[in-house]
Amino acid sequence: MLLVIDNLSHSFGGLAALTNISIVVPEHQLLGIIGPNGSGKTTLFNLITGMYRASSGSIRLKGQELVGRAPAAITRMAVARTFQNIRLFKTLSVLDNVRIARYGKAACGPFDTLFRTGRFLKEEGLIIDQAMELLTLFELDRYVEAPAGSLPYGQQRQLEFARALATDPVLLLLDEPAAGMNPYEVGKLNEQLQWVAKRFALTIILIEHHMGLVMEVCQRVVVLDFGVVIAEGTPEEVRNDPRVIDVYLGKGS
Amino acid sequence: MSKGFFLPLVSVLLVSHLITAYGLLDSYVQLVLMYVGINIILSVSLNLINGYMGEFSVGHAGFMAIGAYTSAILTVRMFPDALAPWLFPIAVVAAGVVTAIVGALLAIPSFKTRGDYLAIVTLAFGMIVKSVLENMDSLGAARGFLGISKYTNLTWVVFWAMAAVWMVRNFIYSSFGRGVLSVREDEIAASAAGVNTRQVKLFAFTLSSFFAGVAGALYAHLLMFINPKMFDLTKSTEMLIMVYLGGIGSIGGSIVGAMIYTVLLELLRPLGIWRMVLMPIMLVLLMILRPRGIMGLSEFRWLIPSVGVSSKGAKIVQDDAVGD
Repeated sequence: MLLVIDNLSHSFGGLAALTNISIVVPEHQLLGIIGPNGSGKTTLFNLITGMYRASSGSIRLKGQELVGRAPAAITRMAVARTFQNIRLFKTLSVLDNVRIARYGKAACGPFDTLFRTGRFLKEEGLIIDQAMELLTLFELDRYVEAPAGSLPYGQQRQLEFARALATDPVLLLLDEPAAGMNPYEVGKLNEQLQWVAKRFALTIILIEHHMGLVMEVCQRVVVLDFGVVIAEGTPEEVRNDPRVIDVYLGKGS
Repeated sequence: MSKGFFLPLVSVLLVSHLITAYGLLDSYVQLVLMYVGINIILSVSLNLINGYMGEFSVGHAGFMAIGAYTSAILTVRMFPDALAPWLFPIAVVAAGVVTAIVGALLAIPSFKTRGDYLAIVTLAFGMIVKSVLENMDSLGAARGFLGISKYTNLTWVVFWAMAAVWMVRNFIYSSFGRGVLSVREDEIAASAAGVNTRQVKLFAFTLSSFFAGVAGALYAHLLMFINPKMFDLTKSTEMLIMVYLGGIGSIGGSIVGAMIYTVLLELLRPLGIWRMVLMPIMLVLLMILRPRGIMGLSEFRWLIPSVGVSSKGAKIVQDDAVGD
């Protein structure tokens, strides 16, 4: 098991956002998390990536506890994420956006940096190569020098995706990647998710409201409602689960 | 070291040495040039915090004071008189190191707080340094520290100004530097991208205060007299003016800002007290006409390293700058 979430709870003040969540994610799985707005999906991501510190429970990645670690440390442990409302470094170039994500991999210390030693220059060259490779893969190479904020919406999503991959993740958390996309773009995202998962040997957790995408891409789906897991299973099972239908369509439908 | 930088660096240094050694320039002109150099060191280092990191530090004069007093104690009291002129470079470096340690401590509040709140912390820091110095009788208290020899010359100022520009540039165009920029843009996204924000802030504050300390040491051994009042809020404000005049987030801007401010202040000297009225008015006008300062986030091409020569042969110029 790659990720084991055990009895995880989190509350903001007196408000319970997540209550005793337990989810197990095997390696190379594409897991979907669905649920109405406010059901705690993004909170779960914030807990896994260390943005929030869980009130109780544990999150273990390959047996190592994540709760209590700083976000950057968790990223170095190969967990990457994207944000629901894209968070790029807007005034920085597309290339810099991706290069920044190599921070945790850079080995040069203050001395090599300040004196720009040969070792430093070699590493810089390598970082550029790695960044360019990703940008080419995501068809962003012609925007290299453009400020990230000037890209069209779809490309900004792609750039955020590339930036997340630049940290060399094993586990990738995607928060509503299809938000604001038209059906054609969702179709492309569908293909992309599958080949990216294969090529980078990723385990992906996907928060998504776009049911079509979730049903096609995910091998397993977890349904959250008011911070509690109400259903779990294959897309087929979840789709026919009466509790899920209640949540989405209201009781009695 | 990047090759493109080496030759101009050495020749400029040689020229300033000749000027110093043979008095090729009027001593007043030399003095103004030294002020320019010291101010370049100050504004470039302050720009690291205020421009690149996007914080607002108003305590830079406090760092300068620590550097000035540290070096003065060393050359006047610790070093044997006969050796003091030769040991002056060590005093400058030591001043930088001591100041850097204090700067690293000041980075700690920046882990938790930012913006206006951090500005108040730096303001308080500046006030603390000044009042501690004012109350230390062994350092001359408010009367000031006397008997400093004039060891600072144009060669040293040029050397340190170039070192500051070169190192701050090297820092900015590196993983650490991009980390600093990412903290300015979006700290949460930065940490999600694996940037150790504490490390980045610590490094930026340490480097910035190191050079402020160096500038303080050069200043003390140029004026041959220092007192706490020289390093009050007015001094910090002066540095802020140079940074914002030249343009935040631009090393070239800081160089230009320091030059224009220093030279203009000298040229307006005949106006007497009125120059302190004219100067602010010019600033207000500049902020209206060019709100981002003269350079405003762009950079001189020669300051942007072209190390981005990828092994695939594609030459990529780093680009948080649009060129001059």
